[in-house]
This record gives sequence, C-alpha cells and structure tokens, in this order.
Amino acid sequence: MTDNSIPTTPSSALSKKEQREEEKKQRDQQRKIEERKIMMKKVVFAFVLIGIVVGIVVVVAYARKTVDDRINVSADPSKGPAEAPVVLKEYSDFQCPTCAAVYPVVKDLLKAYGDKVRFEYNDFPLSQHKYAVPAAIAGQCAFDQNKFFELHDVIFDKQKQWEAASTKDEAQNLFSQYAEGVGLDMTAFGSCVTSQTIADRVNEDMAEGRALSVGGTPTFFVNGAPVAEPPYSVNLKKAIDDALNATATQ
Amino acid sequence: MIIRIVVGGIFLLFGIIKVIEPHEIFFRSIRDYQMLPVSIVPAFGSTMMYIEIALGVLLILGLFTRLAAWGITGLLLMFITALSQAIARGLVLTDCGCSGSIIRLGETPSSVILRDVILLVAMSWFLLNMKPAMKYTIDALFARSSTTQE
Repeated sequence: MTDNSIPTTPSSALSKKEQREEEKKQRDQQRKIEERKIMMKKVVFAFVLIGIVVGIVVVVAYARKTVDDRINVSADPSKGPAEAPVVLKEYSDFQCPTCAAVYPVVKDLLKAYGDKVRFEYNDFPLSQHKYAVPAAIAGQCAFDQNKFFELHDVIFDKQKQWEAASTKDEAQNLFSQYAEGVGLDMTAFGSCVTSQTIADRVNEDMAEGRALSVGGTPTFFVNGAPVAEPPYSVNLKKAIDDALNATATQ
Repeated sequence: MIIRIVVGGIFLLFGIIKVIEPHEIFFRSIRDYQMLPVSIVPAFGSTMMYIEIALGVLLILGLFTRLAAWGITGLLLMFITALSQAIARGLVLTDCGCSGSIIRLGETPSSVILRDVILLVAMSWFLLNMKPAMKYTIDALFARSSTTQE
C-alpha cells in the first residue's frame, strides 16, 4: 500500500528558530482574536450607552413637545372681542410680500364682520428672510405697549424700505424710527428688542405654528380649520361665513 | 481628564438642548449659514444633534477616546469654517445654532469663533498628549482586562 498524503514535518524536525517563529505566530493570532473580541465588546458597550442617553433625551423632548409646543403660553396680538363666534388666526412674516399684500384684505374683512370675528396674529418669521425676526421682535415690543397693530401696519407698508437695509443694525434703526412714529416709549422699546423673553415669544409662535403644520406664510385658520390658498379675499370670506353659519345652527 | 469632561460636556449639553427644543430653531440657524441646499438641512440638522450627543458621551466616558476626540475636532473645524464664511459674506445670523434658545450665551459670531478656537486648541493638545490607555477611561478598563486575560 502506498501513502499519497503530503508528508508533514514533525515538530521535532523543526529547528529551534522555526519553533520559536511558529509559537510567535500562534501567539499573534491569539492576541488578534482577543483584540477583536474586546473591540466588539467596546462597540456594543458604546452603542448601549449612547442608546440609553439618546433614549432619555428623546423621551424628555417628546414630553416637552406634547405640552409646550401645542399650548399657546403667551397672549397673541389680537383684535375683536374674546367671545366672538369666529376666530381668524394668522401666521405671518413681516418680510413676506404676500403677507404685506394680504393685510389690507384682513383689515377690510374685520371691518365688515365687526364683533363677529376676532383676529389673532402669530409670528412665523421664515429663515430666508433675514430681517423677519427683528421685525417680529419689534412687533412684539409694540404689543407690550398696546400698539401692535399700529406698528404692524407701518412695518408692512414700509416693507420695501427696511428689507433693502444692508445690515441688521440699519434695519433695526428703521424699526425704531417706525416705533417712535407710532408713539411708543422708546426707552422701553430699546430694552425690549434685546430681551430674551420677547425672542422666546416669537419662537413660541413658531413652535405653535409647526404643531399646526404651518409650512409657509401667510397661513390662516378660521375656528381652527386651515383656509385654502389665495385668493384670500374670497376664501377667507367664505370660511368666515361657513363658520358663522355653523355656529348659528348649533 | 478635565479637557475631556469640559469639551465632551459642552457637546453633550448642546446636543441634548437641540434635541429637546423645536428642531426648526436649529434648522433655521443652519439655513442662515447658506452653505447647504435647503432640502437637506432637516436631515443634516437631525443627524448633527445626535452626533454631538454621541461624541460627547464617548469623550466624557473615555470610550473610543481617540475617535471621539478626532470627531469633535472635525466638528469644531466645521463650525469655525461655517462662522468665518458667514462673517466674510456679511450674513445676518440671528443665532449661531450652538446652544439653542434654552441657554443664551449672548455671543456674537466672532466670540463664538473665539470659543471654538479655544476648544480646538484644547482638543489638539489632548490628541497630541494622548496616551494609549488614559486614566479614568473605559478604554483603560478594557485594556486592563485584556492584559489580565493574557
């Protein structure tokens, strides 16, 4: 019988040097396996730790959002009686051209419906409008002095002037001029525009708008129902009439 | 260890605030830098806030310390670049997008750059002087367990 297997070198046949190399190779292999095991343990540990922290943060964030974001914490500038059967809510941006164009329409509607409609203004400054936030803050500061709608009208009327300002300071100076023009106490206005509480109020409006799925400006709600796109003079009137009819039949 | 906890703590805290508050506030800050297409800002912003938390946790605990330190260094370089280009282009930043609106540090863009540069110097020093198994890190615990096994 012939043996066809490949002859292996018995360990006794290896030189001492070769034996040492073989042992070293085995030790290296063993170490690599150990290192890989430890690396895997570290990766799992890292994922678990990060997962726990992120999980806690997300739960806290969700709890905050459900409470804070859906409740209107501060009062909004408004016109009309609190008990009016129809509430017209607008999310607006002072630098948005459509908002500037639509405000006379709203004014006419409020005049026409009188005490039947209460109008509530909410800030929704869009990020592409670089002076929309300072304009919203100026409006909120006028609201603190009970002259929101006076300044609101001037800011919209002079939109082209202040949006052409080259710096935020220049735009801010224009808002101060308008504020002075409508008779605001300028010392109070000056400290108000830098107040964090006022900036928070604008952010609160934004959060509320997002909770209501507001994606652009102007966005209107009549008794909580969103109003379809332009023409606003037609659609707003129709929505108000429908809401009045609905309350009359109740 | 102090550098690890301070820098990691800042990233962890700022990341947590961004997740907790309305995300649109952070997205708007990112859009203000005008560096990214508007359509990818929400995805980028959402990823960023969790990356900040992850890197903060890893650096504080000393787990994958080198990787976390490099990650934070990269983010700091990115923040400095974004702020510098905004200043150079004269962009109006209503908020730097660093700490959200819960903590207002009242910083101007240049003071934010200064703060980021200080953090960057601290991280560079940390990386240059980093030992393979630093004290009070989870990495050191794993290294010790591996030597015990051998």
